[in-house]
Amino acid sequence: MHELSVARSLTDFVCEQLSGSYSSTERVSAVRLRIGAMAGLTPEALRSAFRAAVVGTPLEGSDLQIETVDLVVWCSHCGQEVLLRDIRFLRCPVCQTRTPSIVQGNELEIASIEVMNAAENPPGPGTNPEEK
Amino acid sequence: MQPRILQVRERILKKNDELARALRQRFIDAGVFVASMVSSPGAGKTTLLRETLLRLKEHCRVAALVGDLATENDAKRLAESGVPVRQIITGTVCHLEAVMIESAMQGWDLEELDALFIENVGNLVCPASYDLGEALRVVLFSTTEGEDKPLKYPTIFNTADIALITKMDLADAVGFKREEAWNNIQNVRPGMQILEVSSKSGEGFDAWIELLKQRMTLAEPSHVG
Repeated sequence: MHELSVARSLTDFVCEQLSGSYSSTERVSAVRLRIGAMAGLTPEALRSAFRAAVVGTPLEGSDLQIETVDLVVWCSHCGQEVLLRDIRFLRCPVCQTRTPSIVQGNELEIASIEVMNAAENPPGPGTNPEEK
Repeated sequence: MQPRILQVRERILKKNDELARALRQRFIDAGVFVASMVSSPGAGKTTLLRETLLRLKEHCRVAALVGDLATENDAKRLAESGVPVRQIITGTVCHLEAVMIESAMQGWDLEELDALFIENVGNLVCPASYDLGEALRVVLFSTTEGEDKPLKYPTIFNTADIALITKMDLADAVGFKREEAWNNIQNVRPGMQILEVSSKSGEGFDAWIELLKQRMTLAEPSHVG
């Protein structure tokens, strides 16, 4: 399960975006991700890994929102992009031609971060980033 | 109060990607061809690599890095080939990352090498997301694993450049359905080159070594840029 490695990279990246980094007075209330259907990551596993990775950071208690990006390939025979529901069969559903040209579906992206100022929204017990 | 929204649109594994890109450039500059190998545990990566190193060392300067969660057994097995080998012990991490490659190579002069092989941790899921700076990613699956392996792990097959079907000497004994296996690979990665090999009998090794030599010729500095 590499979800924990991914969650740690995610946490590090988000903290670096905050003013003052890990000791920031800002707190993250939500993180939005775009995960491709072909990215090889399980959203449920990523959620539990995220909960473990954010302990003691400004992300603790934040909401992880995952948008799944559908797999879309380019069919050169039809001359158009086509949506694939099954990532195991890279063939055009219209003409059945196999195609290796992935247009989208490999994403492993942070889309946006929602930040609150902790001074105005005090963290609950056990969520103080200084405790780390 | 209003939250502040930061629009980021950045790769989560950006740091790994950037380091892998830097490594790839170092390999290109030094004229080193780098291939990585991924498979499930027990598909025969280490044996195939040992046989590959034995054959290639007659022609060029090769080295290998091998990743495992624990033990140095694979490095010891590979060292039997007589080429420089280093073990990367990943501990609890189920895949290799670019930073592990960078630190494992420390002290090696890339100018003294023609080819470097990286054996990933036996795992068909996690290594898919991590670029190691390799020029060629080889996915192995053995005749004993079942023809539907590619359909079960589409992502790793999709990120690989070439597939090796290993343990061909056992194909008849286990009733390996060759056409079905080939078809499954082509479904998840249309157009992927497939080679059938046996590290035990040597079947298919001529074609495999020839392919590597061709890629190494392309990696020579005179062919770059």
